[in-house]
Amino acid sequence: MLPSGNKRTKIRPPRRSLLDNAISGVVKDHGAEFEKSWRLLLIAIKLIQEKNVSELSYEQLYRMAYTLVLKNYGTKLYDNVCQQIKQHLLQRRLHLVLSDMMDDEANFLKEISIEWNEHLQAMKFISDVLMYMNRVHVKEQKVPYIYDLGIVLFLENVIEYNDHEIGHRLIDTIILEINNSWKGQIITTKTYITKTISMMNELEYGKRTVAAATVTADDVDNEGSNYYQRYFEPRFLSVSSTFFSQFALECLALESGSHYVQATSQFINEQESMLNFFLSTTTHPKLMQLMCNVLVKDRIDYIISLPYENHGLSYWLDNVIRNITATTRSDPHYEELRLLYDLVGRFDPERKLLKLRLRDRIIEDGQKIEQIALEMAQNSIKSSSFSSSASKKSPSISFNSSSFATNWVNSVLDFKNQYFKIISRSFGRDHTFEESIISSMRTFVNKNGFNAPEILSIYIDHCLKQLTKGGSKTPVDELLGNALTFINLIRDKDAFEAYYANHFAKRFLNSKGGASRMVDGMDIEDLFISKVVDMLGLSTVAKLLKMNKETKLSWELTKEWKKLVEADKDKSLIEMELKICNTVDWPKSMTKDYRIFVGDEAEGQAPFIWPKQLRHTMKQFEEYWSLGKKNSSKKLYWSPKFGNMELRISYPSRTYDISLSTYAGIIMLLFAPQSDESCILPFEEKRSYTYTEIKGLTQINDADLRRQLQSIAVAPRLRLLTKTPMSKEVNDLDIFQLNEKFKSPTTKVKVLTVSSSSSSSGSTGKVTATTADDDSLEVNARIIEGRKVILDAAVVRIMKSRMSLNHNDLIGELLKQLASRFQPLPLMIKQCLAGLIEKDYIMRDPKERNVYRYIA
Amino acid sequence: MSHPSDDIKGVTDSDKFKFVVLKKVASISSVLRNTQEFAEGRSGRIQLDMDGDILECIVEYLYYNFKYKDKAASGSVPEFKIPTHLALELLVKADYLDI
Repeated sequence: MLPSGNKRTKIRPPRRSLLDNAISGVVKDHGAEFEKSWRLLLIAIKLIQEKNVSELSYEQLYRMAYTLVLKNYGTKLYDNVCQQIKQHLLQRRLHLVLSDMMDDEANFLKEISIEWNEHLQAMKFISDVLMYMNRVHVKEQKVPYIYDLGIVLFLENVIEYNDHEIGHRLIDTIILEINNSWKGQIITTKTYITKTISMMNELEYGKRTVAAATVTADDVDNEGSNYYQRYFEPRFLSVSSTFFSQFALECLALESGSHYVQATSQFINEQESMLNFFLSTTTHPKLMQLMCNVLVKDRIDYIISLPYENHGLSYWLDNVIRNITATTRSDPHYEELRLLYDLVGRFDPERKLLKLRLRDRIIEDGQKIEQIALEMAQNSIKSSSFSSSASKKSPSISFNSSSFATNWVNSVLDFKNQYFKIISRSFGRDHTFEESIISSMRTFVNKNGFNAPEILSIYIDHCLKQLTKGGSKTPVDELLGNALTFINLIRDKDAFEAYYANHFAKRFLNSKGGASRMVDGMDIEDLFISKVVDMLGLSTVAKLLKMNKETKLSWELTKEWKKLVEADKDKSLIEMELKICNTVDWPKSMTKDYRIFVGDEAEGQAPFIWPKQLRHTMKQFEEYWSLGKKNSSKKLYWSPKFGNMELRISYPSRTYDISLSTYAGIIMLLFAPQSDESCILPFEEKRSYTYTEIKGLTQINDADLRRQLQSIAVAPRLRLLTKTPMSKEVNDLDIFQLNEKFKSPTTKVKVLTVSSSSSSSGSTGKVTATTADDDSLEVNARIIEGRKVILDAAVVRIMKSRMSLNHNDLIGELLKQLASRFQPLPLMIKQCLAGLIEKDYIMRDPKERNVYRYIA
Repeated sequence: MSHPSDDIKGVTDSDKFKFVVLKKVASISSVLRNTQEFAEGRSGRIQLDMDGDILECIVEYLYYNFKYKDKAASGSVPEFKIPTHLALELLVKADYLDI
């Protein structure tokens, strides 16, 4: 393209023709020159506004505008264009106002959106034609772009003109339509509502003042930066608020919580989707929030707390507590609960209010379970005759009877399962609710004055006994599951362990002939303990594990002893079932007085006198145990309190195999032939002893001796001995003899020992209850002892690592460490700290009384 | 003289030169793009008031721009040669066409 041969290139000046041609012909007068071009442009703009774009040559128009801008007519052109648009819009407005369509909502909205669309279209073309002005003039003068100018003009001359004549009408129409749809009417104007709403969004105020500089995002986000936000939204929200309040009142008028949740849920759900379609993204959340506040948040607590008759929460949940006793179950109101859950979630995702109210209900209802279980236990006694097989049932039910325990535990578990079902069916399997329900249940399970750990232990004891007897229909797994679930509800795990140990010990010591613990091929005690270990940790149940181990050692020993007895040529040894318990690990209530049977000379306590028939065997066993089994470092004590004896006694009527307690057996042995050589039969001898003599010969303590004598001489039907005089009370001078007339329908006879209380009071009532009460008092004492030790240890442990700590932190740390076992009472902590200060483990800081220091 | 096909747009100058340019190439200029809604869009012809050599250079530039617009980032774009003697006038035309 370069001209060849030219060394120096000449730059051609731009041609003037572009400017001259635009105003074809030579017009010297600048004013006339502008007028001429403007007239052409004006015609073009009008044509554009009449939608006749395709007849115009863009290039010509563009060139005209270009020329005018280049010749500094920019401002004039801009103003003229502005004027023309304004006039056009005022015309259109008049057309809108005057047209008949003003009376018809649908058409009105339609007309407005059409006008708007046409205006925007026209503005686009005008803006295209005046592109050069946009690029040059607008930037220099910092005035709005032509297109934006069009929007501002539309806002000023159509919508806002004459005090918002059209604007207000538009807002009212849209609100009316939306309200109609809320009332359930079908509206046909949806598309136009959407269009006009988006129009209002586009009518931005920022463009009126912000110059050619681009409108930044901030300006758009400003509150009320467009017509929609400034006028429509506030009005819409206030009208909506009134509407919602009214709606809420209508729903409340029926005084039914069920109706209210159903109606509002339906309404909110419908509107949520519908409004999403109409409203701008900024209003939608606001409106939904308003709706939730008015319909849900402000009123839901009232609804939840409505009394039973008015279908509040208590009504929806009522079936849960009813189901426990009902023969035919009816579901709680899952649907209403689900709606409630959703509604509450709308304003609080954690649903604290619902949890709180649910907690109140659970605690209130949960406490009823106690009464229900009590009634159930009583009913079962009334219906079943006294020959109940499972356990010794007493006519009046106390809280630690096994019947109450079973009913209560089962009812509480039932209660819990029903609530969990509600969670899965109505509360979207919300795990936070599971926690909340468990914690609420803990509150009523562990309430003061109600010994849940003991009851649970009784329950388990009862179940295990049933299982080993094969009398229970409940599968092992289910039972274990139940028990383990329940342990979770118990706050004081250490108390449970103590009670459980107590029951375990009793089961073991009272078992006879190595009674099987096997159910379905599993040792259920083993199984249960291993599950508890999994749950509570090894350290918590260390004692239980040791106890369990010792029971097994005892069995083996029993077997070995049996072999030894069989191998004995003299037949001088007696077969024994051995139960050897380490006094450290077994419950104190069982082992505390193991020493008194060897006597204590200092206290004038004579040693227990074992019958001479047994002494040889006992001596042989002691030797075998300490030498043969290498237990020389341990000391063996015999405890006649426990266990049973099997005696074969030949009464004149018949020979009986009698099973009776060790004490009773020892008493009976007094009447037995004293040596093998003696040929005198006991019944011919008519040996007789007074109470005092028996006591002297055995050294059984008074309470036990009276009790045993009552069992074998006073209780009807099973009088192995006769007593003179024949009375219920056992007095010191009463004389006892073998009962020659003893008769029993079977050759095997089992003597049950009457309880200590009945021997003193003489009444037959409350047999098991009172002994159990004594037991639980002892266990309680043991629990408290144990806790003191644990607490002391915990304090020392904490202080040793921290060296100094203020009171509140120490308490906090203690509660944290001990949470898995029990909750120490403030008083207990106080005593413990005082004790440790006294013992110089810790001291108070001399300057700050609140701070403790560890003394190394 | 005219090629009213969808993809082709004639850009003609006043002294009877005629250039046929792809629509999407011509659309690089917003002015040329805007014509499409108007009468020019129907005829497929745009009458431009400029000399043939200037217009040729502009068309060349439009193709050059179209070819390399995606490669600007990579830096491997050859230089566009502007005939020195037309430089000033091209500047004015470029402003006019908003290129």
